[in-house]
Amino acid sequence: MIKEAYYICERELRHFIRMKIQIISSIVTPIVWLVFFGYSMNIMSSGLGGINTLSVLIGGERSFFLYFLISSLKLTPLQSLVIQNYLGISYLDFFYSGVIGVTVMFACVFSGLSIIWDKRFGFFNKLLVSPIPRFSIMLGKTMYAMIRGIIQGAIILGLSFLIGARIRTGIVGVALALIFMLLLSLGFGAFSMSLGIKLADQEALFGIVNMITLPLFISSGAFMPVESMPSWLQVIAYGNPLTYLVDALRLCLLGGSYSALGLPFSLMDVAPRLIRDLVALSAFTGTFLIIGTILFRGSVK
Amino acid sequence: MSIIEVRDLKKVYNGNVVALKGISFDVERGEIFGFLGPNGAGKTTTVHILCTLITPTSGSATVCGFDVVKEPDEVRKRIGFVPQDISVDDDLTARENLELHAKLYHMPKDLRKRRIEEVLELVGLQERADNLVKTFSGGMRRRLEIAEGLLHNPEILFLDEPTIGLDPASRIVIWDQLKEMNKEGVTIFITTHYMDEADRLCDQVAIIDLGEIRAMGKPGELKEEVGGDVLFLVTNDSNKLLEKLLSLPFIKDAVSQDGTLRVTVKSGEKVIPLIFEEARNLGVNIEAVSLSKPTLDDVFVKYTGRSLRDEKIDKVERFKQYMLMKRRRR
Ligand SMILES: Nc1ncnc2c1ncn2[C@@H]1O[C@H](COP(=O)(O)OP(=O)(O)O)[C@@H](O)[C@H]1O
Ligand SMILES: [Mg+2]
Repeated sequence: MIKEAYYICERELRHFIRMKIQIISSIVTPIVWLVFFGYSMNIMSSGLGGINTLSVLIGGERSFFLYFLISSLKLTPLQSLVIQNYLGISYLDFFYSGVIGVTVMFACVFSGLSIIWDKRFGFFNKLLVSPIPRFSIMLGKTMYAMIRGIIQGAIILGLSFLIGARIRTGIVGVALALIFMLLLSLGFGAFSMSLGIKLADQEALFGIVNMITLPLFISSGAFMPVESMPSWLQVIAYGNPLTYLVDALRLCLLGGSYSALGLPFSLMDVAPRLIRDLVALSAFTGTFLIIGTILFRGSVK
Repeated sequence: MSIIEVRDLKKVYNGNVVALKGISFDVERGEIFGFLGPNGAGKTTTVHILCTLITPTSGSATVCGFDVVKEPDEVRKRIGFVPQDISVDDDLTARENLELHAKLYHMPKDLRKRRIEEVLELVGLQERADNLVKTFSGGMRRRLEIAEGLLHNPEILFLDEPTIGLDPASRIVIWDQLKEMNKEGVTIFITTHYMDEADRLCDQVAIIDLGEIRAMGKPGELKEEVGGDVLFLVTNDSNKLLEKLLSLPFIKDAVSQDGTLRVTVKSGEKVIPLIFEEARNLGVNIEAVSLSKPTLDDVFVKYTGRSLRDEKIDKVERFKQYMLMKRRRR
């Protein structure tokens, strides 16, 4: 079963490497975000100041993360610069985890299209006529979504680092971050497969996915801390799997930054909140793996 | 035991579309069996049931001795399937398509390599093996599709309208290749709505219309049933010859039309020399002769009251639209 799934996955990977434009855009888009948003926010906060959405990360006593809007503290530009430098966290540092999360999401949410294509053009029937376990088809395609998600996520992580974003935890944090990316890639892959199995044409999948990705993106805390959102948006944020990925990535990659305040925080200290994120992401991924499996088994006899 | 045994097979889609009304037939090992019928006759439905893609509403079918509903995996290992709509992967090369297929059939690596070369040669695609399928013509895609169907050495190959929309030259290439593989021992089950295809290719033909088999037999026998061959003779003394011909046992019927003799016989080729001999004995000079053979379309008309030809334009049009759609892919 795993072997056959791998063959199916291999085909999808071949497709992917042939889609040059898609590869380029999947890397360029996040970089544009990082540079335009990440840097411009930095400049504004340190030089000009007064940007409302500017935020810094400060470790609190109770919750490990307390996000402050600098404007709400009515700090002068100079003060905000001082605090930022003192904490050592720029907007870029805050933002890049969000960009990775969003990249992972977009890498996976369209993977169900391939099932629709295959059904439409008869390739699916050919797979069904061959003596492979039926489920390996779904498994292989989900595997592909997962691989693509983690590769694109890792590339953006590397590039963020190159353009000046800081990783404050080291290798263990990075490894943990990759595991979280993998988990949600699998979830979004299974989610997209579920749609692909049910829908008959690709426009429908495009429509549905486009409709939901924007709210997921905005409410995920990629741009601004969830804590600084209006409460109605926070409700959405906490029901959004991407929120937990972005949060987990920040914890994994910046977890150690609290020690900059002289506080004894490290990866170990953020563990409870990481576990919360892990549970939330596992629940999402597990649910859609089950839904996808049921739908798939129902659609092929 | 026959390689395919179908008994009273019925298929009803969505509770109201009756695609098969209960058909029965056998296919013998080693033969080329043709399923001839117009659009909507139930050909694809039959192939899909035999290839374990859909389940029948009632009745039974065995392929290679295994029940298609109860032991689909055993059936799958032994069959090759060439679907009606071309389904090779456009974004892979021909070789990559075959590689993937071979892997799905668990062929070991060395066998895989050898067999891929063999089938590429059989369908004449060696030179294009490493090109993307995107760049292939319709005929080449079909041939690749057939190569794929054959790759894992199936006992029987199912082909659903394999020459639909192809130009005459490409069709003949495919017929030759199918005959070649049949000689190597592969049983072939082919559906078509081209009567000449069924006629030239098949050992055994079943004529299907509106979910029912209307006639079955060797193409030659089926055509004989419609009446036989017709000879047209131009002579210098048609009345004298006509009189003689009517007395001969191998002449079914003969009439004179505007001085031309219209003679119905069982087998034209065999009878022509005999008629020439009779004419010479009578001193009658035959100036011209032509032979007109009945087609499977005549058989189709006899059993269904309609002609197969009416369907053609529709199908070609559908194929064109399909190819357009396929190009827009990705
Ligand atoms: N999936 C389906 N759902 C409903 N009706 C179908 C389906 N597939 C085929 N049919 C109907 O069954 C009949 C036989 O179709 P088909 O087997 O495709 O014929 P052919 O291959 O000879 O053209 C047609 O009337 C067709 O409309
Ligand atoms: Mg058909």
